[in-house]
Amino acid sequence: MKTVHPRRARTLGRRGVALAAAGAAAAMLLAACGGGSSSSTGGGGGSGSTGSVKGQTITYWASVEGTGPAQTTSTLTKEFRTFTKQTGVHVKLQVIPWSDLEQKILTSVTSGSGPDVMEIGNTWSPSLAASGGFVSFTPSTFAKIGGESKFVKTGLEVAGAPGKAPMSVPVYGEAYALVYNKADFKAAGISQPPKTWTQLLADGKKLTTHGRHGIAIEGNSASEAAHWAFFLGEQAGNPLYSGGKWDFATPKEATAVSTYINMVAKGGIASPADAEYDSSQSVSDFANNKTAMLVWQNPTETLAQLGMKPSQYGVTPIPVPNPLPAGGKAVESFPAGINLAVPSSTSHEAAALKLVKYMTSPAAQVKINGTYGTFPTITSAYKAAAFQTPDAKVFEKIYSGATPLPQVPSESTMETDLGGAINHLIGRAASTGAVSTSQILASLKSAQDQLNASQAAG
Amino acid sequence: MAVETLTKPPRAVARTTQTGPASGPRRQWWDRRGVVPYLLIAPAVLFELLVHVIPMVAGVVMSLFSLTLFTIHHWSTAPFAGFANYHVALNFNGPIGRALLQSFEITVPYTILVVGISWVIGMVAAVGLNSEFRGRGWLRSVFLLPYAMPLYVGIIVWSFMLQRNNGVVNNVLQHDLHLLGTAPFWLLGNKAFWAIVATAVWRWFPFAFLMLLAALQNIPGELYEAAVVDGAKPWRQFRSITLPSVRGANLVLVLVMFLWTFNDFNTPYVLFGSAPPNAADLLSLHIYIVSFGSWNFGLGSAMSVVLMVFLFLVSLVYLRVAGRKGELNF
Repeated sequence: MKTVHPRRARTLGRRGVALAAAGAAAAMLLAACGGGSSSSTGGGGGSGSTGSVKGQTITYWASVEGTGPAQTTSTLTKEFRTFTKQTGVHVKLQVIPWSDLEQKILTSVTSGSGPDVMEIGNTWSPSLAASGGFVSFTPSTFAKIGGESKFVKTGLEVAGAPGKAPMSVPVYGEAYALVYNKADFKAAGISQPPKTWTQLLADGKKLTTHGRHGIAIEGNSASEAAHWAFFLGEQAGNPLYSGGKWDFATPKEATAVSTYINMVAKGGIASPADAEYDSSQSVSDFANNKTAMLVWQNPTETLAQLGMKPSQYGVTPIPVPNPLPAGGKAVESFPAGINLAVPSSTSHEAAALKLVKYMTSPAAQVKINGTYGTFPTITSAYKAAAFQTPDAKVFEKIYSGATPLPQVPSESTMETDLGGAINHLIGRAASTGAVSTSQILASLKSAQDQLNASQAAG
Repeated sequence: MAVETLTKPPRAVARTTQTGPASGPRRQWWDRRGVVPYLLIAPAVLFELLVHVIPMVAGVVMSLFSLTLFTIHHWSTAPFAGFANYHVALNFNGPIGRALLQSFEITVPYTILVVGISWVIGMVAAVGLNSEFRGRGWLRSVFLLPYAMPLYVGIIVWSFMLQRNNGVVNNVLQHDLHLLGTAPFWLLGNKAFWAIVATAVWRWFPFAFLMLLAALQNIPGELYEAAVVDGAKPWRQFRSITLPSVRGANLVLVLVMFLWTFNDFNTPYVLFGSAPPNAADLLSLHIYIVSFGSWNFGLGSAMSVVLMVFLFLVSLVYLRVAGRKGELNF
């Protein structure tokens, strides 16, 4: 008969505890370091360029479009089902809020792991091109997605670094236009929408009555402010970027941009409350007839969701000074919209390019853009009935004649710095009264110095 | 045979079977004295390394490299910049350094005001709710609500309340109490500073309340009874008994709140996003905007290191002063 040592149980207990603690530490370490299976080769393209792509699964990052995440998910899921039937490639869809998208793209570029296809804001394309983390659309790559000539030319001007092969291709097109409430205009005795800024301000005064304002602006949105600074600057003969640096701190630009800033000042044509707007509240105001005019990108789908019928409003290009000042251009919009990019870290490049080809094919372009209220980026899709309405034709004309924003890597920083400075001035105009040109110039100078210093430091 | 086994001394059995930890030569390493405590804290140390120490070291290393938009993709080959990022960040004559200094000059009064006001409110609440009365438990829960509420939910609600036209703050001040003629902007311009101070105080005072309440519970009631007998009024009791008794807790509380408030990112980010008004351009948000707005992570890291060094020095001085007075033993 064996003798059990009286201390064996305690020994086993201590050992067991020690082993459990060590095991827990190891498990946590493995969990923390897990997920390292994605490729992070960074430099070259992924594998899978030869051979069948059937059976592969790729990941797609989508921005929120149309009426919101639900519509984006249902629209793309339907399209991807058709794509899977055609090619045998499965697509995992992730819809990402606009506010997070740039961050996620940045993280993916840094880590070398991310989706196989992603939607990007087209104005980010020069910044993303500078990172070198994306597949270039060389002639041979374009051949894989149906060729370069199928795209509307202006869309391809905002698809990468200037003079280099694009790092993305346009998929949804957008452009700015002035929308106006037809009934309000009729009641105020205005027979046609304004063609110049002077006319807009005059019409706005007539329309500012009975608790309604002439126009609504997104006064606290830095990107909106930067876009207005772009149109107004180009029209005034003062491009924002020239001679290799940002050059908007000029009396010309200050005078041009004062039109926008002082709309919210006392006696102006926009409500002072607009100075706080930064999430499409101006579109709601237009739909609820709190304002008679709105300058926005493709608001038709959103207005329909808010209960406004297309017959209730008209669409026209944004005003342009007449006559144009010396050096001024009749810029009505920049080619806005969403592009598709393929990270160079993908290991399913062939399958990813097949999806890009599908998304830029006529059927998908008509279906998706028709649902979202955006516009096709391939010329053949404009023949579809959905894009033959008068409003659609106005947008098509504006989009195909649009002038790109400066295609430089620091463009997105400009939107924050210059746009932010203009937002502050709008806040000041709304609370204490119209801002003088010299005050605007001082703010522009500060933003420009900061921007050029960032560009130099970067 | 069984009888022989039973009569053998235990020590001999132990030597043959080699099972006892204290007596056998083949003791396992985890059985050694003092190893088990280290194994038990190993997961916590590991997480502290992974979540705090390693990212901090990575941040310091990043600040020495030119890690920008152009090099972020192949970050392992980013060029070494030495102290160039620090030169840019600390050159207060240049636009970037000047903006950083302005942000610092806003963050300091913000921190002092938030910590000061939160402490006063927390102390008043703690003293008031320390004595027994009906409904005390319910009131204590209400006072803790801002701290218990999910942070972003609370701040988003404040951003709605502070809206000029539709916010409840202006509604009450202008329409109900008639204290204001015209509705001001709280989220734009100079008033944005007071808006963010108010939001931060609402967020932090429950923490001060909780810590001070716990400290007050340790003060013996007999001290107050003796003071009453001696004719001491409530304010005298507070000055001579309460304050000195909670001094230790106070010193730690103030230090912790100062560090957390100075570093506060969530409150300004949720209230103002990536383009805050100048009056509310707090340091943490400013550094975030430099890093992620201009994609210059080397420069942003350098600014973070400067902030860390500043806070470290402040903490060091504070602890030395407090330690010299014999209040803290570190």
